Amino acid sequence: MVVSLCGIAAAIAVLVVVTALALGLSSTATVEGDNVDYWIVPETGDVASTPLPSEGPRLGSTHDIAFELQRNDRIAYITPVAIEPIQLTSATSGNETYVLALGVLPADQQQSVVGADVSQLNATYPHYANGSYNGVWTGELLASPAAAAQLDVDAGETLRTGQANQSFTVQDVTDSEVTVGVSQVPVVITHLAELQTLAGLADGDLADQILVATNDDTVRETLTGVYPNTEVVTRAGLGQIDPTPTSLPFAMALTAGITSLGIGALFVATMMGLELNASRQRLAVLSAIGFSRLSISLVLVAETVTVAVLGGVIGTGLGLGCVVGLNAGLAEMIGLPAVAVLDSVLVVYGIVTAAVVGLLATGYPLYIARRTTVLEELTQ
Amino acid sequence: MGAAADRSERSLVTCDDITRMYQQNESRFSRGGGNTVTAIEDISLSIDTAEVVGIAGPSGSGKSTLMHILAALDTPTSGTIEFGGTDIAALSDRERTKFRMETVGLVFQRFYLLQSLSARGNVALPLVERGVSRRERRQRAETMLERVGLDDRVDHRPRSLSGGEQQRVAVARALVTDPALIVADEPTGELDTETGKRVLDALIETTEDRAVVIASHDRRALDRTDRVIELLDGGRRE
Repeated sequence: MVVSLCGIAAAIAVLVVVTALALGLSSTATVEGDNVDYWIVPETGDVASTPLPSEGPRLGSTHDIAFELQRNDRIAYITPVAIEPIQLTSATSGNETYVLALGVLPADQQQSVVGADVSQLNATYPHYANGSYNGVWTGELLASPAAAAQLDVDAGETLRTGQANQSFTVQDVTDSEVTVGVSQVPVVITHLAELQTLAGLADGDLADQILVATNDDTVRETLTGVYPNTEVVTRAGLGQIDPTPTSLPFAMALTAGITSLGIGALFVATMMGLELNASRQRLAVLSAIGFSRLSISLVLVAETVTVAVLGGVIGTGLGLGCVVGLNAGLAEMIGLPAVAVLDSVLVVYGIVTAAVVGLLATGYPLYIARRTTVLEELTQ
Repeated sequence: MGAAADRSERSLVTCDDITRMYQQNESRFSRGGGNTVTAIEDISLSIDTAEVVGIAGPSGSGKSTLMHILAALDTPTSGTIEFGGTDIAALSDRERTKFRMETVGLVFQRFYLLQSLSARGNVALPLVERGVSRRERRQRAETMLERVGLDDRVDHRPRSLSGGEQQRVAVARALVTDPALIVADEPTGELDTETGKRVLDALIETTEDRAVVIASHDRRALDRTDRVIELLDGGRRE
């Protein structure tokens, strides 16, 4: 019984840890606005691609395309989004950190991108200067709470970059965070053209995706074909597409689930079967004193499922402990933010899986019970 | 036939010409194939309510086989065994299990208590299948343990009880459903004289409204019975 408990606990603990890792990997942030309805993204990526810039393809001539599409009355707001990690230093506190910079076009009216109102940016957008990128450097920047906290800055304070004439001033600290898994990502939002200049994306006018806000679903046809080798993704479609660029997290979770079910069921069945085999007399006694075959079967099923669920509870606790330890260890050793997600759904998942393991494992004990002959056992 | 019918009307259990054969070289209890061994042959007997019957005989005489048939754990190859007008031999496995639950109390030489349960739990076990409420099971089990002198051992596991105490728990388990027939196979076989006497007391004191059949090698146990049926080589010794 103890061995069965330990076996199922180990299987469920591994399941919980791997699933938590898979959840962590799949919980990548999206660059989205509250009113954004379409995303134009390279085919090799999607709107849910990692917030860190990939080395994959980027979109070119994004200003021209955006300005062209902006003339369409059905489009309320359109902006290319360049995503680039940059190093910023607070002129006040001296704090220095890498943040994720998003370059966007300012909006005429309130428009949210990753929780920041981009209408706070200077709508004249001077630095672009018709594509010359030599207009006035505004240095306007909206900081997420995590970015502001790490840099120890507030609105009005100055942030320096590596370039002497390209510093930023915090316009506002937004209310909402961008999270990856359970960790908050320090994000700043600035003018697209200024980020392009800073990050070397001005040549070719590169950006990672284009966000489009509209109330007219016929806009999609207009957007399709704007760029070759891109796809237009809708908000409604988000729920239907893989939330990550690859299927790795899903594959991990699926493999962990199947492995836990398979190994768990085989292990519990074998151990319960062996234990039962060693105590066939117990079954014979139950039968001798009048327990029906059905009642004995129910006793065995209840016993097996109870052992499995108890093991599942222990395993889930162990797994969650391992997740906490893993996250803490990685943070301590290499400064990595939480890679595995702690979620209450893991508790339910672990215990339900254990119960299924228990049910799957009942076959062998029931087979042994069926083959047990009362007289053979009681006359040995 | 007329004599048998007459006997059946008066008796709790009536066996007529029961024979039990086993096939050798296969599972002892499987039928078909191998050499045939006759464990008991053409045994007829009747047992009345309130009667204590001893079954005696040397090893291999067929005592245990006869006890198993009386307890409805086994069926004869031929012959009939009637209990209250019902031929037990004709019942299906399922029906015989139900019959045992309702009618028979079993006491084995090796006690066969469940080690994971307390004395109370073991005694209450047959009541579980009868659908008796938890509270009543507990109450009846404790009453029965008190009756066999183990009221101070109700929470003890079998391992912490002596052999005599374990056998008295087994007797209490056999009596708790108030069966019409108690079948006790060598109930004192593993006990010393004094302990064996206490176990027999517990068994025999309860025979007012039931029959007790005791198979034993122990002459002192057989002396406590109303009559003894002697077996030899599978048949009744004349």
